[in-house]
Amino acid sequence: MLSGVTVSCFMLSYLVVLALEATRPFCKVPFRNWLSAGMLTAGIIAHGTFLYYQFAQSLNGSGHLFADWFQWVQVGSFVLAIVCLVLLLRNPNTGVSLFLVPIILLLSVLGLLFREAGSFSIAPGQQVALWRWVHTLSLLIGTVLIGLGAAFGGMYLVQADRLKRKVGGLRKLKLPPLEFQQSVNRLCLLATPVFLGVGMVSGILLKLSESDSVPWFDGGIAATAILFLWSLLAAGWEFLSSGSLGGRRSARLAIANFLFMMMVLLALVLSSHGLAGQGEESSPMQSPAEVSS
Amino acid sequence: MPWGMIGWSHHHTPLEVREKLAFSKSQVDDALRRFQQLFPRCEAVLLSTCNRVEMYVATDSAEVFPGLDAIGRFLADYHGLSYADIAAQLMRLPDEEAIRHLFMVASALDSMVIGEAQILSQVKQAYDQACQASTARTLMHQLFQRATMVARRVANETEIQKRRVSIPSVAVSEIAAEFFERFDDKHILLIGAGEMGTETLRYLIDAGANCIEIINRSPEKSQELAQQFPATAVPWEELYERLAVADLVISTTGAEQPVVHRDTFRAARTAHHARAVLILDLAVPRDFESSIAELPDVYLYTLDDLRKVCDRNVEARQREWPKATRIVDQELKKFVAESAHRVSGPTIRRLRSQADEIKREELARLLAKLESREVDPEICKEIEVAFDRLVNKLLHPPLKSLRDHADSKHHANLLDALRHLFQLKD
Repeated sequence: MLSGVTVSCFMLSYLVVLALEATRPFCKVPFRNWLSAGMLTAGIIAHGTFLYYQFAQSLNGSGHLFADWFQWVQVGSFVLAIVCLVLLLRNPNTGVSLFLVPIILLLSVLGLLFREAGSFSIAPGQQVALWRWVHTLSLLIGTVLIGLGAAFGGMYLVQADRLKRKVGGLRKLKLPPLEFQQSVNRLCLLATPVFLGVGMVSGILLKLSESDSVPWFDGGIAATAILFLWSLLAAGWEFLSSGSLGGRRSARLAIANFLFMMMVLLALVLSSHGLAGQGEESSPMQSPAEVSS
Repeated sequence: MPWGMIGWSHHHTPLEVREKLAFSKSQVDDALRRFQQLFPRCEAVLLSTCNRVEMYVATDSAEVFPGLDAIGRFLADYHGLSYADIAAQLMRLPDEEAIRHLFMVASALDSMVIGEAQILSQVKQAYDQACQASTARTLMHQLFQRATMVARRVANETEIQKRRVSIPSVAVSEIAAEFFERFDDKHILLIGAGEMGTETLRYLIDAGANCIEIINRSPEKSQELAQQFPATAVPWEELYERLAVADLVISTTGAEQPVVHRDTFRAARTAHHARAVLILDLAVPRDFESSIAELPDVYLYTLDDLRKVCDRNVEARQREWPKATRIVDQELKKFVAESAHRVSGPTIRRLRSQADEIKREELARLLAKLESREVDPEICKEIEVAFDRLVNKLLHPPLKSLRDHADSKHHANLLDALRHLFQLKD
């Protein structure tokens, strides 16, 4: 029966959470925090079940996990949903989910766009499998960090603007203190290039293990490299300017990271690299992690 | 059971009079001891704060209740005042009104600033003193324990105490808390020595602040303040330099012109690569030029901004008022019913025992006759059961009436009638 869980099941749960949070400033809902946490948990359970059956199918078919773009992106949104639940429980009565759930939904929708993109071609060999795992997981973490950073970046800008303008009724939509928001932003900004870098290097090593050559001008590699360099630059900028509250810059950088990542992903979906011919899709260098990064 | 409260509060009595009638801690002890000597069968608690002097008195019998005027005279005499002079400003509340008043006071619904939770600790302190003086016994234990419970219910079930309404508390708990997760690693700069600023500093220290600098035109004054708080005094000449490294600034000078100017401030910030800063300008006239608020990463809050938050919170507290008074009324009803039940307990027991005694005597007489006529023991048992049922049925209507009117004013009359009609003796 659980195999009948679809993307719409968990997306609907996340949408309810979003609706509950979006209406927070306008109307009172009894037990709103519990309802939000409950719906988010239900969504995560449905999401996890869905991924479990996806992985089971992949193992039965290709024999590998993360067999296609769709699964990879869905795992990314699943991890973000868990992070969102932790933050919701850590910061009750705040609108954290209002900023994180749209990112989760966006990634899920993006996953749907990748659904028909086909599976990856995976070469046999222990070393290939090792690099593939490192490559996939590090870029996945990098993507999650970029998503989290963007949510907190948006939150920071909204909160900073409200505090600057002394907008009344801050209680109606309470957000965590600016300091906390900035520290999450900073963490995301500094950690992202580490994971993107590991992902990129492991992708190159993966390619070398498979075919002894690297197609340096491949779209996936180029996009990953550009995003990595950008995130490195952003992290350097953030690292060199330490500050207690100077978070607008960090927030803007985190949002820029996310927009950059989305552009790369959308470009790959719309281009022949992302969604065109099956043969091209199954090229090892077009693994989901590379494209999404 | 007579309860009573007599006293003065900020509602009806001006400060000049309240000052004369206030009791210090040692005077409360002394007054309670004297009261005990005068009215040994009374229980009493004396609550004296800067906004009220109230004496709660209770006895287990109406005959020994001294009367509210006698208690008022006692309080006036204690301070050497003429009762006639102050009687007009007195608040005299009998029975349920006194109980309700205490519940309102403990729940901070009668405070000058509604919801100011400090009153509950003052009520508890007054009760503790009365316990130590042995003027609080069974009745006062029940009343004050219930008052504490009511106050907790009001605090937990309404938002009446959740929103701060004083400028310093709002500045720290609502404004600064939107910026900072913790205060122990923040540079805090206090400019001037205004009362509002030092009060805000107290809240910040309570919240964990420990890196505080105080700057004042008069170095003696800043040194003096630095000794009061865990703070460092800084020379006035370093004002802009200290501003550039501060995370949170509180300013309360008495200057007639702004002491911090936009251009100099901006230059200092640029020179020090300053971080974002929260400025609480609590001075009137303002210490910071208003255009400073336009600088990036500078969050400038004036006294008016904070006052608006306070006003909103006061309104929010007032919106919770009906909910809070509903809780008070519910608890009052329960307390009165329970008290009535406790009071009527001995009378009911006496009534039952008297009825049982008559039943036993009559039954014994009847059974003796029946036994002499060799009546079947089963029939004797039936007769015993019939006697029990008869007594229960006869007592049921009066006891039910007593129970039904437990929370009404007629309860005492009914109880009295019951004692007289059935000639119940103590």
